Order: sequence, then C-alpha cells, then structure tokens
Amino acid sequence: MARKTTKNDPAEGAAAGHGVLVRAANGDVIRYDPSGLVMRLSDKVIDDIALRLGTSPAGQAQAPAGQAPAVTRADPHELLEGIDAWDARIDGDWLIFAARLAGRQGIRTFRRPLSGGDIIADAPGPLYGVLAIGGPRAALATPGGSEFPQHVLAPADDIGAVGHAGVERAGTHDRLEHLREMTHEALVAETLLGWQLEKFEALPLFLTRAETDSSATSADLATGRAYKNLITAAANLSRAAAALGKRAKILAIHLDFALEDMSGSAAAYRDGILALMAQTERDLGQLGFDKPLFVARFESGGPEVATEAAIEGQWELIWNHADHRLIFSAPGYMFAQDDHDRPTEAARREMAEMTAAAISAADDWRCPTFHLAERLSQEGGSIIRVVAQAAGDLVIDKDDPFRVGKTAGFTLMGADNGARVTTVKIDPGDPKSLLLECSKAPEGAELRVAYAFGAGDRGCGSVRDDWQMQGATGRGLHRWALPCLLPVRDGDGDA
Amino acid sequence: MLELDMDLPPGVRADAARPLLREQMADAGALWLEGLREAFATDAETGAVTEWRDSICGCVAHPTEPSIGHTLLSEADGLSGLALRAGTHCGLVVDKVDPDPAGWSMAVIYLPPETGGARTLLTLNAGSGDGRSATYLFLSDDGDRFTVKGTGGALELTAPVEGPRSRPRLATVTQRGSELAFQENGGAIHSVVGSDAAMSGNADLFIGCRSHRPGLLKTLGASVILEVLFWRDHTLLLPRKEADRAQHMALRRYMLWGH
Repeated sequence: MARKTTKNDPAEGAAAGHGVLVRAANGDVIRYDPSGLVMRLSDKVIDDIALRLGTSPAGQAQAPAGQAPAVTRADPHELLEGIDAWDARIDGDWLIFAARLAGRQGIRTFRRPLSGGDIIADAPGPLYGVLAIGGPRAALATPGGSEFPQHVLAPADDIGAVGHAGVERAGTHDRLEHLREMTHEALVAETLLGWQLEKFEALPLFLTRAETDSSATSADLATGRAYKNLITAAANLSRAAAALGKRAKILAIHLDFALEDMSGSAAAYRDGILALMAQTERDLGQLGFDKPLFVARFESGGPEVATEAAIEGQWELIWNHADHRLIFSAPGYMFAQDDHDRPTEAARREMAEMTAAAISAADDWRCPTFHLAERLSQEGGSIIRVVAQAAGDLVIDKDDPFRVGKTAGFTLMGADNGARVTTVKIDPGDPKSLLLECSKAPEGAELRVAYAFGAGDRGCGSVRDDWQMQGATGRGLHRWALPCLLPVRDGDGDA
Repeated sequence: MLELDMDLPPGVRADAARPLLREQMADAGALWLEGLREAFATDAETGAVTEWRDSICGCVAHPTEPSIGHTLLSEADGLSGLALRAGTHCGLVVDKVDPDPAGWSMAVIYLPPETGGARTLLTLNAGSGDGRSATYLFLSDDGDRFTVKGTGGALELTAPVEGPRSRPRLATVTQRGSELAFQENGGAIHSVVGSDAAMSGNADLFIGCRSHRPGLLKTLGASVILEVLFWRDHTLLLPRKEADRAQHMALRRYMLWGH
C-alpha cells in the first residue's frame, strides 16, 4: 500500500469546513464536515454499535420496544398536584400526561416542561403562528383566556397575545404560555380550533402575537419597533416548535394598518405596505419560513374617519400587490361598533370568523371588488354601470342590515348639477355588474362613484356575493363588497 | 490529505452512493432514470430532451404525445434533470413498466420550485395502450401537501410537505393490493387502506404528467425531476420480504449520501 501526504488545496474544497482526509485511487474514503468525520462504516461495526447500545442489529425490521425514547413512570399525584391527571410519564424535558382540564378540547393528553411552566396540549401537526403587525388599534383585546387554553398560546415572555406595543424590544423564548386576553389573532386561532372540533379533526397548537407601534405611515411601520418584534415573534415560533420537536408554520400575518396612515397619499400608503410585505418575506425566508399569507380587513368609515387616500390606497393594494400573497377578509363596515367607534364583542368574534374563513380559503378568497364605473349612453346618460370582480354572483341584500336604502351604499361625488343615485339593481345581462340609476344625467369634470364611503356617518353598503356562513353569534355572515372610489368613464355606447 | 494508491470497494467510499444503489437495484430488476447528463439524449438543434435512458434494465423514457420539444434539460450544481414548466406539458413516459398487481413501488427525487407546487410528479397509468382514458394513480406535490390518488378505486392519501424547498426531495409510493403508502425523504410512512386501484401489468409510467392528454394544465407544475425509480414487484414501504426492506434501506442510504 503506497501512500503520500499532500496539503489540502483550499481551492479544491467545495464549501468552507468541508474536505477530504483520506482518498483512495478510485474515490474518497474519509471526508469531514463542520460536525465531524464523514465515512461509511461496515455492517459489522453497525451491528457492534447496535449491540452495545442495547438495540437490535441493523438491517432487521425497525421498532423493537427498546428503541423508543426512554420513558419513566412518574407519580402523577406528586408532579401534578391538584389536577385530574393520569398516565403521567417523563419524556426528555417534558412531563406528559392525560388529564381532564378546563376548555372545550375535552379529555386528552397534555404536556408541561419538567422545569415548570404552563400546561399545553400534546397536539398533532405543526406549531401554527397567527401573527399581526399594525397600529395601536391592532392591540385591542378582550380580557380573559381562550376557550382552548392549552391550544391557543403566546411566547412565554409574560406579555400575552398583545405584544410589546412598540415600547420595548421582544426577547428570545422557546416556551409557550396561556393567554390572559384575546386579540383578533387569538380569536382567529380559537375559531379555527372550534371548526376543527366540530369536524372531529386534529386540534393543533397555535402561537398568536400582535406587535404594534405608533408609526405614522406604512413606510415607518416597515422599519419600526413593531416590525422587529414581529420577526422576533416568528423566530420564537421556530424555537418553540423545535423545543416541541415540531415544524413551525406561519398560517397568516394580519396587516392591521390603514386608517392609521397619515401620509395622505394612496400611492405612498400602498408602496409602504408593499415594502413591508417584501421585507417580511425576506426576513421570514431567512428564518426558514415559506412565503407567508397576508390578510387585511378593508377599513372603511365616513369622511371623518376614513380619508379618500385610505380608501384608494387599500383599493390599490387589491389590484397591485405584486407577487405577495395578500387577501382582504372583509370590509370594516360589516362589523358593529360601540359609541367609541370600537368593534363590539360580537363584532370582534365575527371579524375573527371572517379572517379565519379567508385564511382557510387562502388565495381563493375574494370579496366583491368594484373596478370600473361607466356612464351608459341610454336613458339620456342617467345610468352608470359599475363592474365588479367577485367569486360569486352579486346580491343586493333585501334585508339591508346597514340601512343604506335604495342606493345600496352608492353615492356620486363631484356631480356639479346635483345629480344623485336613486336606485341600484343588478345588471340583467351580467350578474357581476350593477346599474346605478341617477336622478338625472350627472355632470362634472371630477365625477366619481363611491361605494360604502361618504354615505351616512359610517360608510356602509348592501352589496355582497352569495357566500354565507353561520357565525357563532347566530348572525349569518356574508362576504360584503369592498369600498371604492371610482372615476366615471363614458361607456362605449354598446348598451 | 492522505492519498492511498489503491482501489477500494464502493461500500467503503464516501462518494460511491450511486454505484452502490445501482448494484442493489439491479438485483431487484428495477428501473432507474438517473440524474446524469449522459443518461439524456437531446435534440442537437433545440436542446429538447428526446430520451432519458435507464441504466439498469435498458428501458427508455420518451416525450409524451403533447410534449413536443417542451422538455428541457436542467443542469445545475452537478445535477442534471428534467426542467418542468408550470402549465406546460413537458412530460416523459416509459412504456409498459409491467407492475405486479400484487404490489409495486415508485420514487422520485426532485427540486421543488421556489414558490407554488411541483404538482404532478409521477403517474402509473394503466391505459389501454394509448394512455388516454384509463385508470391511473398519481403522485402530486402542491407545495403544502402531497397527494397520492388512484382514479380507478377509492384510494387516496394526503400528507403534509415537511422538507424545505431548498433541498432535493425524495417522495416514495408503494401500492400493495388495496393498501397505499407514502413517505417523504426518511419521514413518517403514511398509509391508507381503500379499494384496489387495479393496476394491471399493462401500465405506463408518466413523468411530470398524468397521461398523453394535452389538457389538465393545472396539474402541471414547475420543478426539476432529478431521478425516477420504479420497482415492478417490490413493496418498499409495505414490506413483505427481506428484499423489500433491503431496497428501501438502499434508497434511504442513497438519499443520505448522494443528495
């Protein structure tokens, strides 16, 4: 056996820390990588290792009893005092046990870190993250825990589902804890679990966190404290999943920032949100996450609450969100408010149901969206056709739950001759178009059609598609049309 | 580095994953379309793949009827494979792979796209020769989920995608009578019992598509198919005999050392 020793040529190594230690004439024998030596062991050596580890020889069928992780019988009464628990065992750093605990999940297996901490469900599937970023309103939460206390969780930093509010920097944690208050994201997770429970399907674990700050524009939001804390929350999601031996998956990121934007410019708002989504995808990608689904609510309101720029900026994002996965769950006007313009308890539950429905449908979810208003030449020019993109046929709700009357929420803006919308009906020739009949042919250089904006003090409408769902509050939920502000063009005269 | 002036058997070498698996698969009479440049024949003018030659049994994969010059070769990082494009029929087919109705297995190693799903990866189509209207069983990856489904019987299985998009993925399927099993890389083996998908011996193996039909475009995703493996009478994931386990072990070790 001849041999020679040569110095490793650095240019030869494909990657830093990788190389060959021993090479035979016909190939590599011993390589190395940053974790150690790389070589193939013979069957005899593998058999020997198996013998000495007390397992069966290699090559035979897997799963002899001895191969399971070490499990120690523990006395549940000692370790779980005050809990109706049984079948407790210790597995690694965890105490695992069956128990009857508060919550809708019923009797099942739970786990708790041996070193202490909250009891969480021993659940199948990945650890799902439902995260949010936004302004102060996104931190709105209802005091009290979840109906699934051991399934809907937050990073164990003693802050809960409402994040750091931009006040301080989020820390690094790999543990999970129960919630003391329910944010929108926590309600979304609870809604999804409720649906799973009804179908007798798996109840996975959720980590929820809303990070907020007081950014004045969407561009500021992308560089502010809330954003940094959001990325830390995603990293904590990964850490907590790893500690559980699970995969981390971000179900959705809720973008709750629209009326807060003070830029006064639809384009600046849109560009800021686009930059925020691009940066989030890049930073989450570095943490090993797939491209996330972003979900937003189309915030609306009367002129005192919502500016034209806010309506147009959100509308712009529907059409122009590059290749980011962005969906709008619902228009804000469908949710009831209290005297302080805050959504009621029931409305917050419904918001979560709409978000959960949208997340479940993911890229297929679409609220009816108007994109074209044209004046028809017939009837002396007093009819305007408004064309929508919608997943189903349009419906003008006869019950008119938001009391907008015959105009269905449409108004004319910039009509110099005082023309107004009198009646709205579905175009008999196209179930995704509406015909707006006006008191007379509207005139004006800046003539625009508004939906759910400028009509009344809240800005509502009564147009939806045919999707419906029974909400937990008992009210039927519909997919209402999103607000818009469209310039009126002259039709091609073919009507 | 220590250099030895002698030849050593492949089992000792860290870079001999491919010859080792080839040797094992030859014992099983299996089919292996390898991700090696020399396994592909291409059209001199267009560069389109005209043949992908198996290294063991001498079988050949050729473009399907609608895949007219669509199939391009991908060569990156020393790996060669079929570059599939979303919504374009880029598939190949190996005629008459002769699966044993009692049980067979297929596997594919591929690079998933950066976004979206690789969609249809492999299909065993028991067509009446023209592969148009028939019972078939396909394996698809929609990005989040694998689906293995037989159209002839009630046999369907889904499993979440676990691995990252940045690494080659191994997907293995075994059918044994009315049982169907699936495994991603070396992960959990998912299995279901349904009704027999009735794959006769007269089946063709389609790669990156489901049949010779030009339609079904949404079933066609983007990915790079690096290796295709087929065992006509070995049930790797539902083993009955030692040889089944040996083939499965050989495949797992190939993935560990070769990719």
